[in-house]
Amino acid sequence: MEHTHETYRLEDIDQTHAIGAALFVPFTIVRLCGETSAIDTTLTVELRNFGDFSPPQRTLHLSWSSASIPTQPLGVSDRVITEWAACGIACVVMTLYPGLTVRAVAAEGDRFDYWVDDGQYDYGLEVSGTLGADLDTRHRAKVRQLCDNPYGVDGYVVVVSFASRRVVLSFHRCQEESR
Amino acid sequence: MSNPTGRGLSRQGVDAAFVADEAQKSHLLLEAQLLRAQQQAEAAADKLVEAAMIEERLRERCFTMGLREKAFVHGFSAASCWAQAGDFHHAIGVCQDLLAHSDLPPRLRHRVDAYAKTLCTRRAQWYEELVVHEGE
Repeated sequence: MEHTHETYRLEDIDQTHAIGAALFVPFTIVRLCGETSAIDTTLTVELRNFGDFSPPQRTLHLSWSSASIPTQPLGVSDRVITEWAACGIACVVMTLYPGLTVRAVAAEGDRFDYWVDDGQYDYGLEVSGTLGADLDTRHRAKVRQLCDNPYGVDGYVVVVSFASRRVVLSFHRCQEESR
Repeated sequence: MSNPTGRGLSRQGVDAAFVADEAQKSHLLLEAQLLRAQQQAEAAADKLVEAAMIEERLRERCFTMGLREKAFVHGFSAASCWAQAGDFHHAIGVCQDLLAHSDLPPRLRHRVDAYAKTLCTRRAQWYEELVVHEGE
């Protein structure tokens, strides 16, 4: 399968998005490099429902500064580390592929995590991370959740497997998918 | 490469001050999530109250700009912030304000109504437990 290669510096998510995304950086690094002092890694990103986005399988080379590697424990549960690490990855792929800004944190009850926008319209973004390798089951559940949003807006799902270094980014027309 | 187009909520006409407020409330919500994950509930509640007040301001500005759907989003978020901060009375009031709008979309109306009823039930349970513990 054809792969296209992108590169991105993780710390840049803070300038690209409006939500204070710098907070995600240490969590993402911990999940990507564990106990090592690595300053880069490679992820496979699969784009779904992106029309003429070609090829749908991408290779993402992600790097960060050694100064960003946390030197103290993050003080939260493993589940929180994984979820926030996935949010860091979501900020990267939303910039690189659809080119959208993560604009705001959604409310509890919105059924997705963030609002993203193209300057004219707001859409939903649901993010999830896992230490396992089965992304498809997780992805299906997250699509259902996104499409249950009370506003009837369309949106995006990002799921990340830190075990397989695989990311799925997909777009969903919720009116159609919830029928 | 072009993006797929879909149904979104209009944000046409929002200015730099509005965007700054959106960013500020998002910072506060992320900080509150982190503080809660670190078992610092009181500090998280302080952030949530600040975020709730910004959401109410954003809601009013959306109504003024004619962005009614977006106004409802900020209203529901304000209710959620007040509830998470522990101010059920304020949260239920914000939900009732939303329900008073005849053009609130049916799906959102259902969600807001259910949320307000849950808050009323939880408040009653909480008060009952408070009285029982104080009476022991």
